Amino acid sequence: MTALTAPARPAIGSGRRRFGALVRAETTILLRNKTAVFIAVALPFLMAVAFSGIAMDRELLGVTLGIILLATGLLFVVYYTLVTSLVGRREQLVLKRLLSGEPTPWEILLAPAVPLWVLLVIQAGLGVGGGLLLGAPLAHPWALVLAVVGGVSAWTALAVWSATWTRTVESAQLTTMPLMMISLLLSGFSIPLSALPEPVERLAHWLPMTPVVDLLTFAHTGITPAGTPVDGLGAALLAGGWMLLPLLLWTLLGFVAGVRGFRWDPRS
Amino acid sequence: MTSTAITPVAQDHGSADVLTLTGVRRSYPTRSRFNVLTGRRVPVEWFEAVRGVDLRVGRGELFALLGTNGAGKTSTVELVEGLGRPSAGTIRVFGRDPVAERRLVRHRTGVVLQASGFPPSLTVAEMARAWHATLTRPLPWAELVDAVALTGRADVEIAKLSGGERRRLDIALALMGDPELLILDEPTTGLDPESRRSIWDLIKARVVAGSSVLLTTHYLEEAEQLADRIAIMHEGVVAAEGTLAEIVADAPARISFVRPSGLSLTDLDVPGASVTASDTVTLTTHALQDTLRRVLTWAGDTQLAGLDARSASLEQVFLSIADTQELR
Repeated sequence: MTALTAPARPAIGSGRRRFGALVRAETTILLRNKTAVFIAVALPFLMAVAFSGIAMDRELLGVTLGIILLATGLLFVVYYTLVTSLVGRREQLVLKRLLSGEPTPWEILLAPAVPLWVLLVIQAGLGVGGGLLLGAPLAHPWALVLAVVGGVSAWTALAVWSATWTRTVESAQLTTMPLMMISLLLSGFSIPLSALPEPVERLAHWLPMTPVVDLLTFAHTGITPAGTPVDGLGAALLAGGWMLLPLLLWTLLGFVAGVRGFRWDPRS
Repeated sequence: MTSTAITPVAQDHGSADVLTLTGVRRSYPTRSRFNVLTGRRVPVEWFEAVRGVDLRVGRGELFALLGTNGAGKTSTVELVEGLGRPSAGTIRVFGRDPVAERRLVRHRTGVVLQASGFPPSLTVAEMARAWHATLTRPLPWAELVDAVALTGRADVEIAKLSGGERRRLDIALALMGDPELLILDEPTTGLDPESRRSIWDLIKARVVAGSSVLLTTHYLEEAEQLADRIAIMHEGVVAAEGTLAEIVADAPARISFVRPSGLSLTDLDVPGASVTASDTVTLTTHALQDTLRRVLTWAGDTQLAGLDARSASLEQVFLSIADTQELR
């Protein structure tokens, strides 16, 4: 065995190395879980096929394709899969082990999200790319980035929060239902928001999925949720910022409540 | 005690203690209400598992925390590991708070939790490599896997390991960071004697190298074999603490034999010893050698069948603590 009196070996540990190792392990675990891979890879595409019947012309279909792949990706890949990953790891006492070691709580909570982010970006890229091939316009490309980054942050935070009150992997199907249903119904890609009563429509824009749809629509068409086109980059950035705001608030709320209330031990 | 009488080595700026617990208490909510808005549970009723524990573990010392199931051992050790905050009292690991100053503490400790907490789908090598990359000053992972005789199982999924193999992997990971303080929560529970011995050897080697160890166990033999000092916990408090010799010092020794037909017990002169006699005669005494000499003198040439003389044992002390206090 080693002697403590030996000259200290150089400290090779760093936050990046540590986080990288956790991400790699989480990626391996994810890829070996057939159910999770199916939900993460196939489901958004099935949803895209199911929902794309709504759009009539090719141009609109192009826009819709990106929206559906990004939105269902956020729900099933980032949100649902991350909740089940965190809860599953807690049930296996993996989170407790990691917390007893050097990884920080943030590293432990975010590591399983990274492979999901990569999957989501690929899917969103395919959706948007396919949409452009179908002839969808692209007014503000940077708003695509806002939609993806804002959506990913908000839904990652919401997953951490949901994991605080989800006890088992099985019960995740129930605990994730409210946010999933609200998002599927009230974000404008299954039911047009204009069909809703005015107060509900206005409220819907503050939900965690609607701004993603708004931003993506804005990126393609240049038309804001209020239905008006925007002239000039300054005004466009301002409009984009307003659409991003609810996502930032959800990110903050999700992480504050999630990290404060997080249970690392299934018995606690 | 059989081995590992280690004298403290380098002092840590005046204090030889790597771990101190002062008036530590820990309560668990037994009933709580859930607040959906904040995502937090609001406790309504509490159970106090740790009720004022004072302990210190010196540098280079192996300290064993004994106790029955539910005595509060794991609840105490988890606080040392920084997995929870005490509801009262203070805990210092290398003089630091293990929760608030985890960054300054974690790279100096190695932990074996009561339950391993391995992702079942990773292989031994994948787990060892991943853990290695989380450590500040890791030892080569393959060496540690080899030290616990798992090299031949390196590519096997953890789900397919036996309980003993899993525990050995656990020990390998705990040692991988070259820790100054090892915290082992029942490291050999459920293991076969051979695995237990090999884990004992690893722990002993660590102590020889200068590490301190906090060990919980409900195997008395394990504490007797390994520990420099022992504390016996019962119902959330430390009921006895000291070296093995100190703990058993106050407990009486015991002599017993089958009552011989040709001798009268009234002739047996054993001052300070108490005698109970039926078919078997039992004497309890604090002066084993003197009492035994008097018994043998009394017996003369008569054969004493079933003669047994033994010092107080840890088991005896342990059982008396468990019994007496449960009567309260």
